[in-house]
Amino acid sequence: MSLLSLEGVKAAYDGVEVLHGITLSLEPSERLVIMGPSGSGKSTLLKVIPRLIEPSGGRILFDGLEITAIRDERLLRRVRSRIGYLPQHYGLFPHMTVLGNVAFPLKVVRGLPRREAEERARRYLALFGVDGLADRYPTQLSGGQRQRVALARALAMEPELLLLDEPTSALDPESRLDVLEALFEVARMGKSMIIVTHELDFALEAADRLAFMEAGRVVAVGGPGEVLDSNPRIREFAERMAGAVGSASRS
Amino acid sequence: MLDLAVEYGHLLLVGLGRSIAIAVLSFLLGFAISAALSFARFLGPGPVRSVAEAYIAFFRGTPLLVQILMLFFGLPSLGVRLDAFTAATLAIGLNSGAYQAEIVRSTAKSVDEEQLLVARSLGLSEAQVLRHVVLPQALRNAIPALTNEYVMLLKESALASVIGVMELTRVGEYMTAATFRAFQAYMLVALIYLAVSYAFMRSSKSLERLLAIPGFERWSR
Repeated sequence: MSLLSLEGVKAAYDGVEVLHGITLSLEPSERLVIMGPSGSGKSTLLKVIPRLIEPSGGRILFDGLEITAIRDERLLRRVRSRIGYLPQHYGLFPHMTVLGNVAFPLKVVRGLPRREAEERARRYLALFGVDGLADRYPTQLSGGQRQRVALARALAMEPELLLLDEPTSALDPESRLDVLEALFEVARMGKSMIIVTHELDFALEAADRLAFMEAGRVVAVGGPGEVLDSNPRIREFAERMAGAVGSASRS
Repeated sequence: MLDLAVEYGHLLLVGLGRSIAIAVLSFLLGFAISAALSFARFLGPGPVRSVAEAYIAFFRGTPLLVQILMLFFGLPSLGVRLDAFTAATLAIGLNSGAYQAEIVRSTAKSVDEEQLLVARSLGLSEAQVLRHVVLPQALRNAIPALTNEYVMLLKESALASVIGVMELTRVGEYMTAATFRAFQAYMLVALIYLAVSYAFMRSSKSLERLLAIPGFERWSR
Protein backbone atom coordinates (compact mmCIF):
# COMPACT_ATOMS: atom_id res chain seq x y z
CA MET A 1 0.00 0.00 0.00
CA SER A 2 1.22 3.47 -0.79
CA LEU A 3 2.27 5.64 2.12
CA LEU A 4 0.75 8.66 0.46
CA SER A 5 -1.50 9.10 -2.50
CA LEU A 6 -2.93 12.21 -4.04
CA GLU A 7 -5.91 11.89 -6.34
CA GLY A 8 -6.81 14.91 -8.42
CA VAL A 9 -5.78 17.36 -5.70
CA LYS A 10 -6.65 20.97 -6.37
CA ALA A 11 -5.81 24.13 -4.45
CA ALA A 12 -6.74 27.75 -4.90
CA TYR A 13 -5.77 31.10 -3.42
CA ASP A 14 -8.64 33.60 -3.30
CA GLY A 15 -10.54 31.64 -5.92
CA VAL A 16 -7.60 31.38 -8.32
CA GLU A 17 -6.72 27.75 -8.84
CA VAL A 18 -2.99 27.05 -8.56
CA LEU A 19 -3.04 23.24 -8.47
CA HIS A 20 -5.14 21.68 -11.22
CA GLY A 21 -5.67 18.12 -10.12
CA ILE A 22 -2.42 16.55 -8.94
CA THR A 23 -2.23 12.77 -8.90
CA LEU A 24 0.86 11.28 -7.31
CA SER A 25 1.77 8.49 -4.94
CA LEU A 26 4.66 7.69 -2.67
CA GLU A 27 5.71 4.27 -1.41
CA PRO A 28 7.19 3.77 2.06
CA SER A 29 10.89 4.76 2.14
CA GLU A 30 10.57 6.35 -1.26
CA ARG A 31 12.24 9.67 -2.03
CA LEU A 32 10.52 11.90 -4.53
CA VAL A 33 12.10 15.07 -5.88
CA ILE A 34 9.87 17.77 -7.28
CA MET A 35 11.30 20.28 -9.73
CA GLY A 36 9.71 23.01 -11.75
CA PRO A 37 9.82 26.73 -12.43
CA SER A 38 8.74 29.15 -9.73
CA GLY A 39 5.02 29.60 -9.56
CA SER A 40 4.38 26.04 -10.75
CA GLY A 41 2.73 25.12 -7.44
CA LYS A 42 5.51 23.07 -5.79
CA SER A 43 5.32 24.80 -2.40
CA THR A 44 1.55 24.77 -2.45
CA LEU A 45 1.58 21.04 -3.13
CA LEU A 46 3.71 20.44 -0.02
CA LYS A 47 1.47 22.61 2.15
CA VAL A 48 -1.70 20.97 0.95
CA ILE A 49 -0.61 17.46 2.03
CA PRO A 50 -0.90 18.05 5.82
CA ARG A 51 -3.71 20.50 5.06
CA LEU A 52 -1.73 23.57 6.10
CA ILE A 53 -3.62 24.90 3.11
CA GLU A 54 -7.05 23.39 2.55
CA PRO A 55 -7.27 21.66 -0.82
CA SER A 56 -10.19 22.82 -2.94
CA GLY A 57 -10.72 19.41 -4.49
CA GLY A 58 -9.46 15.85 -4.75
CA ARG A 59 -8.46 13.27 -2.13
CA ILE A 60 -5.32 12.78 -0.09
CA LEU A 61 -4.65 9.45 1.59
CA PHE A 62 -1.88 8.96 4.12
CA ASP A 63 -1.19 5.50 5.47
CA GLY A 64 -4.67 4.39 4.48
CA LEU A 65 -6.33 7.37 6.15
CA GLU A 66 -8.17 9.90 4.04
CA ILE A 67 -6.69 13.19 5.31
CA THR A 68 -9.07 15.24 3.22
CA ALA A 69 -12.07 13.63 4.94
CA ILE A 70 -10.95 14.33 8.51
CA ARG A 71 -13.35 16.65 10.31
CA ASP A 72 -12.04 16.14 13.83
CA GLU A 73 -9.38 18.76 14.70
CA ARG A 74 -7.57 16.44 17.09
CA LEU A 75 -7.28 13.64 14.59
CA LEU A 76 -5.98 16.08 11.98
CA ARG A 77 -3.35 17.31 14.44
CA ARG A 78 -2.29 13.76 15.16
CA VAL A 79 -1.86 13.07 11.45
CA ARG A 80 0.06 16.32 10.98
CA SER A 81 2.47 15.36 13.75
CA ARG A 82 3.35 12.25 11.72
CA ILE A 83 4.31 14.35 8.70
CA GLY A 84 7.38 16.57 9.01
CA TYR A 85 7.33 19.86 7.11
CA LEU A 86 10.22 22.24 6.48
CA PRO A 87 9.55 25.62 4.91
CA GLN A 88 12.22 27.36 2.89
CA HIS A 89 13.28 29.75 5.66
CA TYR A 90 13.44 27.19 8.48
CA GLY A 91 10.55 28.55 10.56
CA LEU A 92 12.56 28.34 13.79
CA PHE A 93 11.02 29.96 16.85
CA PRO A 94 13.30 32.92 17.65
CA HIS A 95 12.35 33.09 21.32
CA MET A 96 13.48 29.54 22.04
CA THR A 97 17.00 28.18 22.16
CA VAL A 98 18.09 25.60 19.60
CA LEU A 99 17.46 22.87 22.15
CA GLY A 100 14.11 24.43 23.02
CA ASN A 101 13.06 24.50 19.38
CA VAL A 102 13.64 20.77 19.01
CA ALA A 103 12.47 19.66 22.46
CA PHE A 104 9.36 21.85 22.69
CA PRO A 105 7.12 19.92 20.25
CA LEU A 106 8.27 16.64 21.80
CA LYS A 107 6.99 17.87 25.15
CA VAL A 108 3.83 19.64 24.02
CA VAL A 109 2.71 17.34 21.20
CA ARG A 110 4.31 13.99 22.05
CA GLY A 111 3.91 14.47 25.79
CA LEU A 112 7.47 13.39 26.61
CA PRO A 113 8.88 14.37 30.00
CA ARG A 114 11.40 17.20 29.84
CA ARG A 115 14.51 15.09 30.29
CA GLU A 116 13.52 12.55 27.71
CA ALA A 117 12.55 15.26 25.23
CA GLU A 118 15.86 17.06 25.65
CA GLU A 119 17.82 13.87 25.40
CA ARG A 120 16.14 12.98 22.14
CA ALA A 121 16.55 16.54 20.88
CA ARG A 122 20.29 16.43 21.54
CA ARG A 123 20.56 13.11 19.75
CA TYR A 124 18.98 14.55 16.60
CA LEU A 125 21.00 17.77 16.82
CA ALA A 126 24.13 15.63 17.03
CA LEU A 127 23.06 13.75 13.92
CA PHE A 128 23.46 16.97 11.94
CA GLY A 129 26.49 18.25 13.83
CA VAL A 130 24.70 21.12 15.57
CA ASP A 131 24.48 19.76 19.11
CA GLY A 132 27.21 22.19 20.13
CA LEU A 133 24.78 25.04 19.44
CA ALA A 134 22.06 23.76 21.78
CA ASP A 135 22.06 26.85 24.00
CA ARG A 136 22.23 29.42 21.22
CA TYR A 137 19.27 31.26 19.77
CA PRO A 138 18.31 30.93 16.09
CA THR A 139 19.35 34.50 15.25
CA GLN A 140 22.86 33.66 16.39
CA LEU A 141 23.23 30.89 13.79
CA SER A 142 24.18 30.85 10.12
CA GLY A 143 21.58 29.88 7.54
CA GLY A 144 23.01 26.40 7.16
CA GLN A 145 23.03 25.84 10.90
CA ARG A 146 19.43 27.03 11.13
CA GLN A 147 18.32 24.67 8.38
CA ARG A 148 20.05 21.75 10.09
CA VAL A 149 18.36 22.63 13.40
CA ALA A 150 15.05 22.77 11.55
CA LEU A 151 15.77 19.35 10.06
CA ALA A 152 16.61 17.99 13.51
CA ARG A 153 13.36 19.42 14.87
CA ALA A 154 11.28 17.80 12.14
CA LEU A 155 13.07 14.44 12.42
CA ALA A 156 13.01 14.33 16.23
CA MET A 157 9.24 13.98 15.93
CA GLU A 158 10.06 10.75 14.06
CA PRO A 159 7.61 11.43 11.26
CA GLU A 160 6.77 8.79 8.70
CA LEU A 161 7.00 11.32 5.91
CA LEU A 162 9.14 14.40 5.47
CA LEU A 163 8.22 17.34 3.24
CA LEU A 164 11.07 19.68 2.38
CA ASP A 165 10.60 22.96 0.55
CA GLU A 166 13.77 24.08 -1.22
CA PRO A 167 15.99 23.42 1.80
CA THR A 168 19.15 24.74 0.15
CA SER A 169 17.95 27.58 -2.02
CA ALA A 170 18.14 30.38 0.56
CA LEU A 171 21.66 29.46 1.64
CA ASP A 172 25.14 30.74 0.93
CA PRO A 173 27.36 28.25 -0.95
CA GLU A 174 29.15 26.89 2.09
CA SER A 175 25.96 26.40 4.11
CA ARG A 176 24.38 24.81 1.07
CA LEU A 177 26.94 22.03 1.05
CA ASP A 178 26.46 21.41 4.79
CA VAL A 179 22.72 21.10 4.35
CA LEU A 180 23.08 18.96 1.24
CA GLU A 181 25.22 16.59 3.25
CA ALA A 182 22.55 16.52 5.95
CA LEU A 183 19.94 15.70 3.31
CA PHE A 184 22.00 12.78 2.04
CA GLU A 185 22.21 11.63 5.65
CA VAL A 186 18.40 11.71 5.93
CA ALA A 187 18.18 9.81 2.63
CA ARG A 188 20.50 7.12 4.03
CA MET A 189 18.14 6.78 7.02
CA GLY A 190 15.56 5.55 4.54
CA LYS A 191 13.05 8.24 5.46
CA SER A 192 10.15 8.70 3.06
CA MET A 193 10.34 12.19 1.68
CA ILE A 194 9.10 14.63 -0.86
CA ILE A 195 11.64 17.32 -1.53
CA VAL A 196 11.24 20.36 -3.71
CA THR A 197 14.74 21.16 -4.88
CA HIS A 198 16.87 22.02 -7.86
CA GLU A 199 19.85 20.09 -6.52
CA LEU A 200 20.54 17.86 -9.52
CA ASP A 201 23.12 15.77 -7.66
CA PHE A 202 20.63 14.97 -4.95
CA ALA A 203 17.93 14.13 -7.49
CA LEU A 204 20.19 11.81 -9.44
CA GLU A 205 21.92 10.12 -6.51
CA ALA A 206 19.38 10.02 -3.70
CA ALA A 207 15.94 10.23 -5.25
CA ASP A 208 13.89 7.29 -6.44
CA ARG A 209 11.64 9.39 -8.61
CA LEU A 210 11.45 12.86 -10.04
CA ALA A 211 8.27 14.77 -10.73
CA PHE A 212 8.37 17.86 -12.88
CA MET A 213 5.69 20.48 -12.34
CA GLU A 214 4.56 23.26 -14.60
CA ALA A 215 1.64 25.67 -14.12
CA GLY A 216 -0.04 23.64 -11.41
CA ARG A 217 0.30 20.24 -13.10
CA VAL A 218 2.72 17.34 -12.91
CA VAL A 219 3.93 17.10 -16.50
CA ALA A 220 6.42 14.26 -16.10
CA VAL A 221 7.18 11.71 -13.42
CA GLY A 222 9.51 8.72 -13.25
CA GLY A 223 13.06 7.70 -12.42
CA PRO A 224 15.18 10.90 -12.24
CA GLY A 225 17.56 9.85 -15.01
CA GLU A 226 14.73 8.64 -17.19
CA VAL A 227 12.67 11.85 -16.83
CA LEU A 228 15.70 13.96 -17.64
CA ASP A 229 16.75 11.76 -20.59
CA SER A 230 13.34 11.59 -22.19
CA ASN A 231 12.55 15.29 -21.88
CA PRO A 232 15.25 17.55 -23.35
CA ARG A 233 13.31 20.60 -22.20
CA ILE A 234 13.25 19.42 -18.58
CA ARG A 235 16.91 18.43 -18.74
CA GLU A 236 17.77 21.87 -20.02
CA PHE A 237 15.79 23.49 -17.20
CA ALA A 238 17.35 21.26 -14.55
CA GLU A 239 20.85 21.93 -15.82
CA ARG A 240 20.27 25.63 -16.00
CA MET A 241 19.08 25.60 -12.37
CA ALA A 242 22.00 23.39 -11.35
CA GLY A 243 24.30 25.73 -13.25
CA ALA A 244 22.90 28.68 -11.32
CA VAL A 245 23.52 26.85 -8.06
CA GLY A 246 26.98 25.79 -9.23
CA SER A 247 28.02 29.29 -10.16
CA ALA A 248 26.81 30.52 -6.80
CA SER A 249 29.06 28.01 -5.09
CA ARG A 250 32.06 29.18 -7.07
CA SER A 251 31.57 32.82 -6.22
CA MET B 1 6.04 77.60 43.00
CA LEU B 2 8.36 76.03 45.55
CA ASP B 3 6.35 77.47 48.41
CA LEU B 4 3.23 75.82 46.94
CA ALA B 5 5.08 72.51 46.79
CA VAL B 6 6.09 72.85 50.43
CA GLU B 7 2.72 74.02 51.66
CA TYR B 8 0.72 71.41 49.77
CA GLY B 9 3.37 68.71 49.74
CA HIS B 10 1.36 66.22 51.71
CA LEU B 11 -1.75 66.70 49.60
CA LEU B 12 0.27 66.46 46.38
CA LEU B 13 1.77 63.17 47.52
CA VAL B 14 -1.62 61.73 48.37
CA GLY B 15 -2.96 62.92 45.00
CA LEU B 16 0.01 61.46 43.14
CA GLY B 17 -0.45 58.18 45.00
CA ARG B 18 -4.06 58.05 43.90
CA SER B 19 -3.21 58.90 40.27
CA ILE B 20 -0.64 56.13 40.20
CA ALA B 21 -3.10 53.73 41.82
CA ILE B 22 -5.68 54.49 39.11
CA ALA B 23 -3.08 54.02 36.39
CA VAL B 24 -1.67 50.77 37.79
CA LEU B 25 -5.03 49.17 38.59
CA SER B 26 -6.62 50.18 35.29
CA PHE B 27 -3.54 48.99 33.40
CA LEU B 28 -3.75 45.56 35.06
CA LEU B 29 -7.49 45.38 34.48
CA GLY B 30 -6.93 46.41 30.87
CA PHE B 31 -4.21 43.79 30.46
CA ALA B 32 -6.50 41.02 31.70
CA ILE B 33 -9.28 42.23 29.43
CA SER B 34 -6.94 42.43 26.45
CA ALA B 35 -5.83 38.83 27.07
CA ALA B 36 -9.46 37.70 27.07
CA LEU B 37 -10.19 39.78 23.97
CA SER B 38 -7.14 38.38 22.17
CA PHE B 39 -8.08 34.78 22.86
CA ALA B 40 -11.65 35.53 21.78
CA ARG B 41 -10.42 37.19 18.61
CA PHE B 42 -7.87 34.59 17.58
CA LEU B 43 -9.60 31.41 18.70
CA GLY B 44 -13.25 32.10 19.34
CA PRO B 45 -16.10 31.00 17.11
CA GLY B 46 -17.74 33.69 14.96
CA PRO B 47 -20.19 35.15 17.50
CA VAL B 48 -17.53 35.38 20.25
CA ARG B 49 -15.23 37.16 17.83
CA SER B 50 -18.00 39.62 16.94
CA VAL B 51 -18.61 40.41 20.62
CA ALA B 52 -14.90 41.09 21.11
CA GLU B 53 -14.78 43.33 18.03
CA ALA B 54 -17.89 45.20 19.17
CA TYR B 55 -16.37 45.76 22.61
CA ILE B 56 -13.19 47.15 21.07
CA ALA B 57 -15.10 49.35 18.64
CA PHE B 58 -17.26 50.79 21.43
CA PHE B 59 -14.44 51.65 23.82
CA ARG B 60 -12.16 53.03 21.13
CA GLY B 61 -14.93 54.93 19.42
CA THR B 62 -16.41 56.83 22.36
CA PRO B 63 -14.83 59.44 24.65
CA LEU B 64 -13.25 58.09 27.82
CA LEU B 65 -14.85 60.94 29.74
CA VAL B 66 -18.29 59.82 28.60
CA GLN B 67 -17.46 56.27 29.69
CA ILE B 68 -16.44 57.51 33.14
CA LEU B 69 -19.60 59.59 33.47
CA MET B 70 -21.72 56.63 32.35
CA LEU B 71 -20.29 54.37 35.03
CA PHE B 72 -20.40 56.94 37.81
CA PHE B 73 -23.73 58.63 37.09
CA GLY B 74 -25.40 56.01 34.90
CA LEU B 75 -24.95 52.78 36.84
CA PRO B 76 -26.81 53.95 39.98
CA SER B 77 -29.99 54.06 37.89
CA LEU B 78 -29.46 50.32 37.34
CA GLY B 79 -29.00 49.83 41.05
CA VAL B 80 -25.20 49.68 41.03
CA ARG B 81 -23.52 52.43 43.02
CA LEU B 82 -19.76 52.78 42.72
CA ASP B 83 -17.58 55.25 44.60
CA ALA B 84 -15.77 57.76 42.39
CA PHE B 85 -12.37 56.08 42.60
CA THR B 86 -13.77 52.66 41.64
CA ALA B 87 -15.89 54.06 38.82
CA ALA B 88 -12.97 55.97 37.33
CA THR B 89 -10.55 53.05 37.62
CA LEU B 90 -13.06 50.64 36.15
CA ALA B 91 -13.89 52.92 33.22
CA ILE B 92 -10.25 53.63 32.41
CA GLY B 93 -9.43 49.90 32.71
CA LEU B 94 -12.29 48.83 30.45
CA ASN B 95 -11.18 51.43 27.95
CA SER B 96 -7.52 50.45 28.12
CA GLY B 97 -8.43 46.79 27.53
CA ALA B 98 -9.62 47.71 24.05
CA TYR B 99 -6.43 49.61 23.26
CA GLN B 100 -4.15 46.93 24.70
CA ALA B 101 -5.96 44.30 22.61
CA GLU B 102 -5.16 46.37 19.52
CA ILE B 103 -1.50 46.56 20.57
CA VAL B 104 -1.31 42.78 20.98
CA ARG B 105 -3.00 42.27 17.63
CA SER B 106 -0.55 44.46 15.77
CA THR B 107 2.49 42.79 17.34
CA ALA B 108 1.00 39.31 16.85
CA LYS B 109 0.88 40.04 13.14
CA SER B 110 4.64 40.54 13.16
CA VAL B 111 5.24 36.83 13.88
CA ASP B 112 6.16 35.42 10.50
CA GLU B 113 3.90 33.03 8.64
CA GLU B 114 6.42 30.19 8.34
CA GLN B 115 6.60 29.79 12.10
CA LEU B 116 2.84 29.36 12.22
CA LEU B 117 2.93 26.82 9.39
CA VAL B 118 5.66 24.83 11.10
CA ALA B 119 3.91 24.98 14.47
CA ARG B 120 0.71 23.62 12.94
CA SER B 121 2.61 21.01 10.97
CA LEU B 122 4.18 19.77 14.21
CA GLY B 123 0.67 19.05 15.43
CA LEU B 124 0.07 22.02 17.74
CA SER B 125 -3.48 23.20 18.28
CA GLU B 126 -4.39 26.80 17.50
CA ALA B 127 -4.45 27.56 21.24
CA GLN B 128 -0.96 26.06 21.65
CA VAL B 129 0.32 28.03 18.66
CA LEU B 130 -1.00 31.19 20.29
CA ARG B 131 0.36 30.37 23.74
CA HIS B 132 3.79 28.99 22.86
CA VAL B 133 4.66 30.71 19.59
CA VAL B 134 2.69 33.90 19.01
CA LEU B 135 2.17 35.45 22.44
CA PRO B 136 5.72 35.09 23.82
CA GLN B 137 6.96 37.05 20.81
CA ALA B 138 4.02 39.40 20.52
CA LEU B 139 4.16 40.43 24.19
CA ARG B 140 7.88 41.12 24.04
CA ASN B 141 7.39 43.25 20.96
CA ALA B 142 4.50 44.96 22.70
CA ILE B 143 6.57 46.28 25.62
CA PRO B 144 7.29 49.71 24.08
CA ALA B 145 3.65 50.19 23.09
CA LEU B 146 2.40 48.93 26.46
CA THR B 147 4.77 51.31 28.23
CA ASN B 148 3.30 54.10 26.18
CA GLU B 149 -0.18 52.89 27.10
CA TYR B 150 0.70 52.99 30.80
CA VAL B 151 1.95 56.56 30.51
CA MET B 152 -1.26 57.43 28.67
CA LEU B 153 -3.26 55.97 31.55
CA LEU B 154 -1.32 57.98 34.10
CA LYS B 155 -2.30 61.12 32.20
CA GLU B 156 -5.87 59.98 31.53
CA SER B 157 -6.33 59.36 35.24
CA ALA B 158 -6.65 63.18 35.42
CA LEU B 159 -10.18 62.71 34.07
CA ALA B 160 -11.12 61.14 37.41
CA SER B 161 -10.96 64.66 38.86
CA VAL B 162 -14.21 65.41 37.03
CA ILE B 163 -16.17 63.05 39.26
CA GLY B 164 -14.37 64.28 42.37
CA VAL B 165 -11.54 61.77 42.91
CA MET B 166 -8.84 63.57 44.91
CA GLU B 167 -6.02 62.69 42.56
CA LEU B 168 -3.17 64.88 41.37
CA THR B 169 -5.14 67.12 38.99
CA ARG B 170 -7.88 67.62 41.57
CA VAL B 171 -5.19 68.73 44.04
CA GLY B 172 -4.15 71.28 41.43
CA GLU B 173 -7.72 72.58 41.31
CA TYR B 174 -7.79 72.69 45.09
CA MET B 175 -4.54 74.67 45.27
CA THR B 176 -5.86 77.08 42.64
CA ALA B 177 -9.06 77.67 44.55
CA ALA B 178 -7.14 78.29 47.77
CA THR B 179 -4.38 80.55 46.39
CA PHE B 180 -5.65 81.88 43.02
CA ARG B 181 -2.22 81.02 41.56
CA ALA B 182 -3.58 78.83 38.77
CA PHE B 183 -0.53 78.83 36.51
CA GLN B 184 1.94 77.84 39.21
CA ALA B 185 -0.40 75.27 40.70
CA TYR B 186 -1.02 73.49 37.41
CA MET B 187 2.60 73.81 36.32
CA LEU B 188 3.63 72.11 39.54
CA VAL B 189 1.13 69.32 38.89
CA ALA B 190 2.31 68.99 35.28
CA LEU B 191 5.95 68.68 36.36
CA ILE B 192 5.05 65.91 38.78
CA TYR B 193 3.29 63.98 35.99
CA LEU B 194 6.33 64.52 33.79
CA ALA B 195 8.79 63.28 36.42
CA VAL B 196 6.82 60.10 37.04
CA SER B 197 6.23 59.38 33.33
CA TYR B 198 9.86 59.98 32.48
CA ALA B 199 11.14 57.72 35.26
CA PHE B 200 8.77 55.01 34.10
CA MET B 201 9.76 55.23 30.45
CA ARG B 202 13.42 54.99 31.42
CA SER B 203 12.87 51.90 33.55
CA SER B 204 10.86 50.19 30.82
CA LYS B 205 13.88 50.41 28.53
CA SER B 206 15.72 48.18 30.98
CA LEU B 207 12.79 45.79 30.99
CA GLU B 208 12.94 45.61 27.21
CA ARG B 209 16.62 44.80 27.32
CA LEU B 210 16.08 42.21 30.03
CA LEU B 211 13.40 40.39 28.04
CA ALA B 212 14.94 40.84 24.61
CA ILE B 213 15.35 37.70 22.53
CA PRO B 214 19.05 37.27 21.75
CA GLY B 215 19.69 38.69 18.32
CA PHE B 216 16.86 41.17 18.67
CA GLU B 217 18.57 43.42 21.24
CA ARG B 218 19.19 46.13 18.71
CA TRP B 219 15.47 46.83 18.59
CA SER B 220 15.33 47.80 22.20
CA ARG B 221 18.09 50.38 22.24
